[in-house]
Amino acid sequence: MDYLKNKWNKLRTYVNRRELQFMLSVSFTLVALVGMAFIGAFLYQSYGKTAEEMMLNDNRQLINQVEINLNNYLRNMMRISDTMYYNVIKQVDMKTDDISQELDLLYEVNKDSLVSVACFSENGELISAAPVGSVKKNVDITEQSWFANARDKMENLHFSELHVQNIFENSNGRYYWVVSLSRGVELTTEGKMSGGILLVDMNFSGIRQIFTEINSRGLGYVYLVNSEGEIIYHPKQNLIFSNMLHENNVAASQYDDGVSEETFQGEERTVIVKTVGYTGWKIVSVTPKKELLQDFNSTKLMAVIIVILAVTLMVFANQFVAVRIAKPLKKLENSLKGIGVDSQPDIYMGGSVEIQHLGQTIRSMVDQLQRLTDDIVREQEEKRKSELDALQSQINPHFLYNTLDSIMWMIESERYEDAVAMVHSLGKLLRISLSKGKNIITVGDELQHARSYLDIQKYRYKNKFLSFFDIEEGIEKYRIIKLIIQPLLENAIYYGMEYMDGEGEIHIRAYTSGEDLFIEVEDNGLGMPQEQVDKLLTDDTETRSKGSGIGLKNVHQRIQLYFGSEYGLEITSEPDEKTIVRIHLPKTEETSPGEGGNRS
Amino acid sequence: MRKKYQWHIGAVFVTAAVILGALYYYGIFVGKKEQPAVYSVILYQNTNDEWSTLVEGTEQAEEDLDIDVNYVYLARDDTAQEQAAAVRREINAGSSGILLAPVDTEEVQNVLKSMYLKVPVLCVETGAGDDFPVLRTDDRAMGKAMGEAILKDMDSTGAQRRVAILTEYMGRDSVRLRYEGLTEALKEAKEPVIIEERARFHGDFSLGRFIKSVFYDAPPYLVTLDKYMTEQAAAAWTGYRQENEKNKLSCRIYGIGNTARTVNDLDNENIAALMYQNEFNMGYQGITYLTQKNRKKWLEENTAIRYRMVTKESLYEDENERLLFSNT
Repeated sequence: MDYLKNKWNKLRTYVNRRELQFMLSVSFTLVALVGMAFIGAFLYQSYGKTAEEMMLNDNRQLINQVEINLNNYLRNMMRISDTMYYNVIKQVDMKTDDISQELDLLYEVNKDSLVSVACFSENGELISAAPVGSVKKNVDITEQSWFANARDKMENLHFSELHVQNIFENSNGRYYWVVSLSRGVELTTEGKMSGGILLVDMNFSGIRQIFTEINSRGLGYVYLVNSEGEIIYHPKQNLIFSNMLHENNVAASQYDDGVSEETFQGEERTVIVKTVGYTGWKIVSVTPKKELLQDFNSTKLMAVIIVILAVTLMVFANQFVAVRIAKPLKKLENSLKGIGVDSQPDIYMGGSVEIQHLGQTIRSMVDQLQRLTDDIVREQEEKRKSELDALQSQINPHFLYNTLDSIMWMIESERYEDAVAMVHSLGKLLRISLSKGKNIITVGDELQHARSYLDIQKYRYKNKFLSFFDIEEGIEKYRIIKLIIQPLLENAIYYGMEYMDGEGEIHIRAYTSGEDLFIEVEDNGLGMPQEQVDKLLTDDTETRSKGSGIGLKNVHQRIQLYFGSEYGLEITSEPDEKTIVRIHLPKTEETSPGEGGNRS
Repeated sequence: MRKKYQWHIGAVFVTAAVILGALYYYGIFVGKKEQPAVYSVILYQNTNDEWSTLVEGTEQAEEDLDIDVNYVYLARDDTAQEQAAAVRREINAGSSGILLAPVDTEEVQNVLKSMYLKVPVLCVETGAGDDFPVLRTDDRAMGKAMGEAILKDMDSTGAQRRVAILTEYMGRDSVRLRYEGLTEALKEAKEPVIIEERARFHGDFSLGRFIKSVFYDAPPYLVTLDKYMTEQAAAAWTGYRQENEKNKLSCRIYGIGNTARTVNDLDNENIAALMYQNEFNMGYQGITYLTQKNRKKWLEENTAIRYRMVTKESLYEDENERLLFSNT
């Protein structure tokens, strides 16, 4: 049981793993096969029974026909006997009258079916016979079975076994097979009644003819036996008499009228028996089963071949249909395999109307999904940019307060030129910070902004540091994100210069290399270890206590957000030596659609 | 891929159409009967119904095996050459096998040996040498049984112990074997039996006069070893007896025979006893074995043709009646 369950589960798993085409093909074929098997079995059964029934009916009709013919033949013989007895023998006195003329006449009229007609006394003496003949020497008539039977039961007509007529002298060498019909008769001699026997020898050829005609028609064969089973006629009589063939005649003589089944010498046979009235003879029709179904077998063979052919065609047709159904689905499935956020493959839209509709729907869904994804990404970017823009647009109020405080202090101490220069620098700084709301400005403007910022800081830090600009010629025209140098300078001043004992230096370099633009801010401040350098662009916990509040990390993210992940900041530092922060940008002169635009 | 698939479908449908066509053809024409094979039966014949029982057997086989049988009867005294010509003619006409009753063992053997026989030849009743299979009864035993029956009759009647034997047709080995069996039995008798061999010489009397001349010596027993000779002996004896009615002659004829004439002569007591073989079986089995193309050795090991002796008293016994009186 477990084994079967296990096998069943394995089969289910196997089937479940197969493709739709296989499932369709197998399912269609199985359904068709089961259907055909049921129909075939039904037809086989019904056709087989009908064929058998028809054959048996045919044989019944044949046997009925034989019985009618045989009965006619026998009645004719009995009529001859009756005529002879009642119209001749009973009417004459044997002493005075001669019956040979009447016998001859009767014989002549019926000689096709008669061999002889004779009347014997109860002692077996021949009274008269036709054709005229004498009894053979040494033949005792009273010992003949037909004579004894008639003598013993005078009132009956007796039909003998088939035998050769052997009582009359025969000089012509012709011998006849006969069935003797004998009866007891009353003979009148000089008014005295005595017994006698009337013999009518029926020519066997009459019986044979009846059966030969029938046997040449239907299936199987028909034979005739008497009540003891002795064969009177058989189509293969000589073979049986020569012991080359055996017949189940004795058993058949015991069968009741109707259809019986028997197995004789290993052969199954259908036997139909019909008793011939009065004689007790039985007409036996034998049809071997294999012969009965011979036609049916050839039809069966044809049917099997046609079924096999039909199944083969059906398998192919099912395969064809399955392919027609499954192939578009398979194509659709394959076309959907590449679907992702970044890819929009060509979705298959062939096959039937339903599959086309499915393809269209999926394509519409994918388009919609893509649009939604794009919208989300764009919104997220815009949100991020907005955040950064907000950060970028922030001006440290403390820086502004200190600058204005320094200007006020310069004016109070009558350093009017310095105050004017500082106000001038602050004005430039604010102008570039605003830049009409643009995010992308030229490198020239950004460097100007850096200069203004450094000028202000120099006033504030009382020229505690020096700044050097090393700018490649012609670099000013390239585009750069606004206010990304200032945070670098801010860090350089606050972390590099503030704690220095000596003269601080800040070097600003701008140069191009291939398609890239680089701007470096180098300070000779305290520097930092590599671990700290590594954290600068990644660590979210970074806090700022001084400066504009825009950290290096944010500058780095802004650059990457605008120009891609291959760009951004690169930091190298040597403790107690220097720190270099390098801005890496693409070399662009025109603002691309996504990169520019006014921000309000 | 699509093209390949379409090609497959097309091929399957064409194949299906061809098969269905074949089935249709098969269904329509299968009932058409093929021309049955033809077999030939070539028999020597000296008297009209000499082979009637054998022919009943071959006809039964013809019916059972669904074949055609062509019969060729030779005229009386036809030679081995003429029989060989008949064999050749039948083979050329498309015969599938020959059932042959040779007119003379040695002569037929010689002529058949010189021929190219592309179909099987099966001899019946008489052989044609060791090269050809033969279907027959044990002729020697049959002759011996006849001799024993004569001895028994001698013992019971006290008749003179003298037997005349007509040794015609000794060229047929069947006759020769019967003769050998007969003489063997007679020679083995406790009391000696005089055996008188009687044979015609070319240029001598006619057969009838020759046989009649045998009766001049008043042999108490006359033996014939061939059906024709039995018929002739019975006819001659009937005539001789009628001619010499006053002399109350007695000659008991023992002969081979199953023809209507010999049976009638037995019935009319012109013949004392007949020996006969089951020729119906010989004919039936002969044709059957020809169709089965059985070899000589197989035939020798698997066939047996029975013989019987019949007298006036046993003539109408069931078995004799069935084998000696045709009911067809």
